[in-house]
Amino acid sequence: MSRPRALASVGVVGVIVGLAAGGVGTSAVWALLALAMLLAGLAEVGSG
Amino acid sequence: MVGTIAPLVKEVRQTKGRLGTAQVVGLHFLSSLAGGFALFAALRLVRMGAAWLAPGLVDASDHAAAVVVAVLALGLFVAATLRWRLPMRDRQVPIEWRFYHGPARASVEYGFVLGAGLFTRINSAALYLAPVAALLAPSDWLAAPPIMIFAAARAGIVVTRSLAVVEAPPAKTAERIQWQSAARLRFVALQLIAVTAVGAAGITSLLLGAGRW
Repeated sequence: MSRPRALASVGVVGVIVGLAAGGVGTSAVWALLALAMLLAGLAEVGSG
Repeated sequence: MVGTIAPLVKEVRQTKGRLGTAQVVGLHFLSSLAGGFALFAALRLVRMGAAWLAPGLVDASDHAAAVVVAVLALGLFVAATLRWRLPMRDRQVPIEWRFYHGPARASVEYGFVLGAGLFTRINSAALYLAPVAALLAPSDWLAAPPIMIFAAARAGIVVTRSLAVVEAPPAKTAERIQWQSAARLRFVALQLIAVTAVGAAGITSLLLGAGRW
């Protein structure tokens, strides 16, 4: 995994864990999850 | 997954039959959404069954859903960092479908399988979160977006790339190299626009819907 991607992943996971642990709410965690799914889908840019 | 939708687009452009490019890519996109929805519906049925058999367990999972998803995300990050091999069906869509089934049917079949996401090679560890989230989400409105967004994003980028590849100059030419660097920039721009749009929509919906979900 490249350094920028690793840092981005740490950031996303950190925010998810922080929100969940801080009790901010399920909807906030799900919003980030939706963003992660968007990135996962767009990562198929090499496909066609 | 290379060489599945782009050849179908190329085929309908060359034959100039009843079926057009828009139909092929449109069918692929819609069937991808259908594949995502089928997975979502199947997982919610499993949850309904679990709620009927063990209502206490489902109530408890509702309260812990966010924490479970967060912990799983952390585990997947560690697994991806350490390059652990995660369970998956390490196959791509059958290439013979486009030879035997024709452009329209093959486009629908490829879209459905790729939209469901779990039945081909998994390139992003984050995808494992989608079925877990669909099972644990307290409401259908929360359960659907992760899977459906993945299906739409995957189909969208595949369709965009397929349309671009068909227009590409012949391989191993100077024009091809120029085209590739320009196309790479366009795809990065497209990804940034999509991420920004969804991020903004997510923040807006969070602000407007805070406390209602």
